[in-house]
Amino acid sequence: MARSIAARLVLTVPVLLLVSLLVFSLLLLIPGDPALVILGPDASPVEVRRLSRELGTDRPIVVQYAAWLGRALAGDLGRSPRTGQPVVAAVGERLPPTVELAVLGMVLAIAGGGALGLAAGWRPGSLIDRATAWLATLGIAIPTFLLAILLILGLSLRAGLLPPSGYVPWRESVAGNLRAMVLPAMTVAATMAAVIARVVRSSVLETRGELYVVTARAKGLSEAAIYLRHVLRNALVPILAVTGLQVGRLMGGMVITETMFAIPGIGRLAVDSVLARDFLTVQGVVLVMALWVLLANLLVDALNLVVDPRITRV
Amino acid sequence: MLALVALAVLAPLVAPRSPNVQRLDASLGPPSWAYPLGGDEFGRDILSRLVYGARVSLWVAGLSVGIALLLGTAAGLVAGYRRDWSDLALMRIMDALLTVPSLILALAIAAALGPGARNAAIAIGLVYIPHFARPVRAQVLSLADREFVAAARALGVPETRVLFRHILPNVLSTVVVLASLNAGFAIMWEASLSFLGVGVQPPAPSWGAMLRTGYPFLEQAPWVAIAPGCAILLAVLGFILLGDRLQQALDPKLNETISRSVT
Repeated sequence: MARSIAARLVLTVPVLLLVSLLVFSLLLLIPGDPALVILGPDASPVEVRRLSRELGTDRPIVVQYAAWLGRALAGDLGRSPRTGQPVVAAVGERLPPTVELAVLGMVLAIAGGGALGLAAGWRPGSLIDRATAWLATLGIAIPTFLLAILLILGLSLRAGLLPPSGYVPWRESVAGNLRAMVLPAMTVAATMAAVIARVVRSSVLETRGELYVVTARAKGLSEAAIYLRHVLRNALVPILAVTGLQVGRLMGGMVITETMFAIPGIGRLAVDSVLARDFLTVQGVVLVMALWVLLANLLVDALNLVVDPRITRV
Repeated sequence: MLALVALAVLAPLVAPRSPNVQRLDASLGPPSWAYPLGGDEFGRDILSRLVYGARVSLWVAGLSVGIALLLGTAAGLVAGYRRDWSDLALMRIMDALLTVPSLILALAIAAALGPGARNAAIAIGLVYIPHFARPVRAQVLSLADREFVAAARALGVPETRVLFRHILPNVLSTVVVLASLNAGFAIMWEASLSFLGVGVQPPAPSWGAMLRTGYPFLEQAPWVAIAPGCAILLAVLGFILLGDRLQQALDPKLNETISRSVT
């Protein structure tokens, strides 16, 4: 098991290198002199020349990339011209709310989508099954911002149950933090829950017909026991796979969710930096998110080995 | 879906008013006979702006899917057919593109290129290349071992001719289905980018930009933000359902590869 995980780690190295190349080339896409664009039109020529030298834009691209990669590996992604703060520190500071939101959203998506999928798969063609099919299609097609608006309008402005936006650090108040996180977490979870519900449904449908389920029933096991011991465990593998695949989309949804609910996470940082044309910070956020997705997929592969002993290679 | 296209083409005829005329007395006005979906913060008719906004959405969807389709299909064909170092290299590039969350990547690319509908479309198109390249490659891989391909080769048909005349026609149905599904998501991403302030800029009538400007008035005039939101939802749903139908009509066996690539 350790060996196959190690093999998987080795495989991520070229992908990581390509991601870094992608992140680096973002600067090349900017029309005109990147240093001038980054610093803005009010910058003095001296400053522009200093940043040009720092970015190395006066040297060949290959040399620029090598120098950038070297610094990035040492944890130096430059300094934000907007705030003067090192990019790595700025991103690190904004990470906790994003991690919290992502974890809450994922838990909600797996619980909600899993439950719907299990119910739908157990009684195909039933009302629950058809309702789930519609909900799932809707969940995939609904834009994050529309869902957020509807939730804010319905549960916050009209019913007054929850705060419409804002973020309370959990150090200040755990209850306040969770209350403020309910709506954003629901928003983030919707699409993932829809996809999970679909996958779990088809997995349950497939498992229901398996001989070992028939045997379990013939043995006189109760329906609940069959479900928990035999069907649920088999549904875990596709849930894991989908969760891994959906992490990227979840992060995309987080950008919009954080903006709408005023949560100071890295998604919000990305939007603010993009609007302020602070490309060094944008690079940092893109890199962190890519690392996150890679790590999540590694974790999923490792968990797969635990859940399904038949899988020996990844 | 056809209705949406017709709406976009005939926008000047269908829309009850000009999308940019401001009538301050109708500002944030509720839906009425004169303004069926209400007025926005400058008293512009929301229905008319939605109708014109369909043009922007469809144009961006068309351009971005076009970019992704051409580059992605080409990459998938080459990678699946050659199966050598180019396959390895192309697929690792696709892995890298897929590793960065697509909205973030599109956001970053669109920001670097500068605001505007065309740049947003280019950004979305680039991000979506793997969504075409991967399923096409998977299909080419299975086609390349079939008898008719081996027969064509045995007859001495040149490689490029085998690729274009024998393999390409067989992946076209996949490509059509993918195009429809991705067009729906492209509309959603364009709206997202415009909503975040990177894509189409006001006063141009784009659904995402309308949502952005209407959002602060959620409490007093919810229709300003909800109307464009629903337009986006309907358009996305329309393309996804169209994709599903096409898939069932063209090749029911494709279910697996396509649903996997999209989700």
